[in-house]
Amino acid sequence: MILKMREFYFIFWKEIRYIFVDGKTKAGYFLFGIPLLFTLLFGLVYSPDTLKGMPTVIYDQDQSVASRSLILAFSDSERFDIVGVVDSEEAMEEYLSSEEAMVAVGIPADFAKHIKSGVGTEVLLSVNAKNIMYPNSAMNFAKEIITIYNIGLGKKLIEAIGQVPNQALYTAQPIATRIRILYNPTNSYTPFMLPGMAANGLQIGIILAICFAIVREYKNQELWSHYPACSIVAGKLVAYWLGGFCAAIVSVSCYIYLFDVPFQGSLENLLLIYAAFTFAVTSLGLFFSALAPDEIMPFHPIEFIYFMPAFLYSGYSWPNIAKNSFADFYSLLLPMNYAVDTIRDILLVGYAGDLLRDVLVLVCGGVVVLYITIGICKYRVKKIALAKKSEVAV
Amino acid sequence: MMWWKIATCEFKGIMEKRPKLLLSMFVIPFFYLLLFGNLFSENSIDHIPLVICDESQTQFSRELTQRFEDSDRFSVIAYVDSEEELEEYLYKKKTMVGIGIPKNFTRDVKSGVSAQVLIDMDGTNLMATNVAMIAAEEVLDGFSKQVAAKLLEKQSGVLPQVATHKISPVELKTRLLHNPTLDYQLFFLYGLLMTSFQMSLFIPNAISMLIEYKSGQYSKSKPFHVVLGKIVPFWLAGTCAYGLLLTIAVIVFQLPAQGNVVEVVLLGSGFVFAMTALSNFIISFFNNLLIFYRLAIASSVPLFILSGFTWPIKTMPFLVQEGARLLPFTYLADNLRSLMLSGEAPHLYRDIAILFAYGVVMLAFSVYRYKKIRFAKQVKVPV
Repeated sequence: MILKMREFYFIFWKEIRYIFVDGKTKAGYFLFGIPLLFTLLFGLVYSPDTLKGMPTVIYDQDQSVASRSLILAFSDSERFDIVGVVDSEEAMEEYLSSEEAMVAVGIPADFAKHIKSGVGTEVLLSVNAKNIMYPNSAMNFAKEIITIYNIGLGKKLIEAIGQVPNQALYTAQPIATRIRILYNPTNSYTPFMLPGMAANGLQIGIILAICFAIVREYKNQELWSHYPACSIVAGKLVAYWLGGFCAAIVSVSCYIYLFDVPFQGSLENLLLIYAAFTFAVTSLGLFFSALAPDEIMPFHPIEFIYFMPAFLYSGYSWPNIAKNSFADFYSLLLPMNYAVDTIRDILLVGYAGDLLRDVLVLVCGGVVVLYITIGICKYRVKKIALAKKSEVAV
Repeated sequence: MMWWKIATCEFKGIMEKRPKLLLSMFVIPFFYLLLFGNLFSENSIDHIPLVICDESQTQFSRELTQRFEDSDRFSVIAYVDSEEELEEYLYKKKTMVGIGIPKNFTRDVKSGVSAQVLIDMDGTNLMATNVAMIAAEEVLDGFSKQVAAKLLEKQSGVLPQVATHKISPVELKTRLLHNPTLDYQLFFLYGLLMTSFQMSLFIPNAISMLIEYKSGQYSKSKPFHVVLGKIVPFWLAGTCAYGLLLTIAVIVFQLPAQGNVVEVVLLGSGFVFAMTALSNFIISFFNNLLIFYRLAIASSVPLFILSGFTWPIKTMPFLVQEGARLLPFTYLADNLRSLMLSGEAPHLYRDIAILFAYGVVMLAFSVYRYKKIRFAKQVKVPV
């Protein structure tokens, strides 16, 4: 397969005109609009960054100074928003089942008495766990509150049996824990999710824009007889790739400047992974377009099953360590798998150890798919030509 | 023709000529179900890679590291000698968690000076970070309490049981309702299944209506009857597909099904009605499927996130919240999960009523659009 530059340029400019000027399928809108829309929409959705003000109901059976100081600790935390104080278990359950409260803090009777007498007591934290976000956050922060509360109380109790205050504090908490969350210290949702969602939008935008690129040309036998298949496919690929890459830059600028996603790494690395990713996705999009039944139905059924799993299987949110062997294998086939995690690492950590490997896989994968696409085009054009010939003969 | 005759006629026509329209409602979500069910088959995140930097190297510090070795949540992949090395592991993403035990750890603890253990976490993947944080704190907390109790016992001669209660007088007991093991399949699968169902529901009815716009097969019947007759076959088939998919999800992936069957079906039926009527209305603005198809595909992820199924709707900005209220999926997803996991959903009947009302309004809009377009055509023809 030899690529002639003149033919390539002709196809390339023709396709650029089709995308941005005279195409009926509004390819340009999809190419730029969807990544931008995804970035803006999810940037807005995740703008509160952390789950604050979880609606909380308090059931305090003790009504003592000790229990009230614990309740105060909960109400002082911005994570919990006390929406009700009840005086029976039924009322507490009612709050939980009506979902007016997602968290309930139950303090037993004799709470203060048991603390003083050294018997020990407990606080019951009930969380509606249907949406896993609530228990994850509630457990973390309730634990923090109780630990601090315990240290204060423990210190006093130990002082009471004759230790000096300083020593009592050490005895109550001999081992302190210092947690450092690296690369996303505030545990924010935006830097965690937005780059991935934007890349997902980019992938969807490119594949939806490109879906007519090949399938609409099958009837145009003249084109295939004048130009070699590799020039046609390559010309189209470069047109969409450039468009997709520009769309990627718009989307990246948007999440960095508008939604303050940190950017620790180097620009070259970020551009490199985006270039490789858009290349692989464009190539895959052309492959789907070459397979599509016709212009009325420009999608191969496989595409319907491709989009959503492509993101979830990538290891971006559900981590690779929790995948079984089939999931591991399936994700090897997805361009997202080599891009989204790397993009997030470049942004948040400033370093992605697998960058070159990922770029290489994306480029090689893209080239292989491209060759297969050219093969499919040749086969289908030949088949159409044969069918026409036999029609004429009849 | 009356609407039920049109509906019967349509149904027969689709089954003979385009069975794919109805089958796709079932087949596409079915594949999604298999893929997603398989992805979350591990249920929870275990064996989180952990690196330990034990500068203390004493019997006592080894007691702590042993606790991490014994935990299912972690798998210790390496022991390193310095904090720099530990950071290197984290920086290169070879581990997700690093534990740093300082040099004077044992001496400090035993001499009554508080010692500090460092937990470094890779915060890039929040989902894993949360799990790791809860688990690491649990291990350290347990160890710290045990040590404190022993110290107090030694220093003040109190009994072990009493010492524990003095160190940690208040215990936090957690009760996680409806998903006690924080299983991701329970959390996610119903929603993902319904997202794919929504996508495959949106398109077939639109195709069928577009055919009517092009061919004018029922142009002699009253507009209301035509539109309703077009919707009914998809409404019924969609409700059946919904029931079938849920049944398969429950049987194959052993998901809980606590809800009352009638309520579950009513909710689904309301959703299918609202969606088919909506697609019927929207297709009237398109002359062909070129753009409609792609919009349907592109919208599935945003609709899923906007429904509040993962990131709670109440925490979204006001305008986004209002936008989410215009989407039928918002009324389905959360309610269905609640019904299946706990058997009740707080605003179920209100939301079912909204879905049916939504369907009726969209039906009225569709009839209006159909009338307008048919009239415009009839005016054109004599010219």
